[in-house]
Amino acid sequence: MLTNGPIVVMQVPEKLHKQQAVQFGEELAPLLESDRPRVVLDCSQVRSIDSAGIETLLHSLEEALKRDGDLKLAALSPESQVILELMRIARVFETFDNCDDAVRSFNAIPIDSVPQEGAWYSGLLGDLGALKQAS
Amino acid sequence: MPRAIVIAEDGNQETEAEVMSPVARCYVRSHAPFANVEVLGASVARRIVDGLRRGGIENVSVLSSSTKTQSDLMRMRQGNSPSQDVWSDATDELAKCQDEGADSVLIVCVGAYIDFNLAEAFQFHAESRRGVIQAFDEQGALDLWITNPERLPERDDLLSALYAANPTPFPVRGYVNRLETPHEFRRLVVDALNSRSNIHPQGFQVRPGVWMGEGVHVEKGARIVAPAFIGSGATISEQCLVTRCSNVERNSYVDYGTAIEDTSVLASTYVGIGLDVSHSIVDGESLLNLDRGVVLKIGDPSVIRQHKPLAGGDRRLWGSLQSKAARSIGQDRAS
Repeated sequence: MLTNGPIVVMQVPEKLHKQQAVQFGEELAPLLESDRPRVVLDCSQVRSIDSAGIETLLHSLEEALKRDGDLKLAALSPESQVILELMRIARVFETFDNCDDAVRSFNAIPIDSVPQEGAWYSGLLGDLGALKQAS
Repeated sequence: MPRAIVIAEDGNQETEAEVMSPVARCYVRSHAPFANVEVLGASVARRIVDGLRRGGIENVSVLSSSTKTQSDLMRMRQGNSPSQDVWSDATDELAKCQDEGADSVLIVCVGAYIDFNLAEAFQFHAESRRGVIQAFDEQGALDLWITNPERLPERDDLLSALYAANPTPFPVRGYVNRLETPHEFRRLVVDALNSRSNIHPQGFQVRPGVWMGEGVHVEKGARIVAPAFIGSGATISEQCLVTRCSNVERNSYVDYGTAIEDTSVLASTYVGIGLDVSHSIVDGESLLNLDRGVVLKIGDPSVIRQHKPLAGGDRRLWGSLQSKAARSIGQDRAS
């Protein structure tokens, strides 16, 4: 992500079962409707997630990715780590040891470090032209 | 004629821990009745009794206690005695043995798994000057004694009498697993599947390193990587993987596409679709992850739950319901 929009950090409830998952999804939804939403979910309090909770997390990630954003997980409790691995979705999310690292990861590539003058492929096109002429 | 008294915990404890599954209860209570949990087709407690009978001791008395645990034993050794009922019963049982003319009685408190030569132990007892010998390994004393009832000092309960007799240490050179932690429980499975102990999986070795009980159902596309054990009546569904010294015990059901890796699935457990279960012990709705030291009680029955296999009558009922449903669907289509 190379934008400067807000990065939202949100606490995931201790129990993310059917009822809580619906409520949590409703709270999360407006954050995901913006352009390039950048959300960090703090999972440090999570003790239990059921399949409805997993569905909410996956749906939220899908919504974020659809709008060219991302949803990252931070400070996973041992319980949430076990559940995510059990459900085979640990690899789908980017996970971080703490929220600060997760927030920093959105700005991992500073904008000014990306070359601004000319497209990266301009030199390559010139080389291709020379190759064509030579052949 | 040698006799044996086996002291086992029956696990019917009316405590707050009772609401939890055996594995979770074991974990919480640190010193656990793991010996009562079925592993590779039979519990350690049953293996001990069977081993004594195979070794020629026809008269094996099993005393069970709902209150005694290994941790209780530890407290007793430290002088904080909890209920000593079972040891009082054991004293009575020993007196009975004496009346019947037994000159050597083996007393074992079910807890640790111990591979030892029974004949060698009785020989050691016969040659020892004291009336009592106690098994030892490099980590210390084990809850296994052989005594001559006549030479035992009089005490209120058998355990106090055994300690008062100042037993001669009998060195155990075979495999010992104290089964005090879930890690040790898993190690028991891994060691048994790798033939490091005398525990033999119950069932047939269908190919090198893969044991299966009777009535196992392995569906097409499922893969069992040796060493592994699948208990009687268990089902491994399509596209499942059972690998790295895993055991799926009796009447369990592993559903479509799930991977079981370095894990013990205890008896009558359902493991849901498309899961990755690794480094764990799964028991009904409890999952204990050994890597992270976490016990999860999963309330979602589509993930894991207690599995009740259909009995003969239920199977017939289910079959007739299925055929009725198929007929009604056929009639709907025809109309």
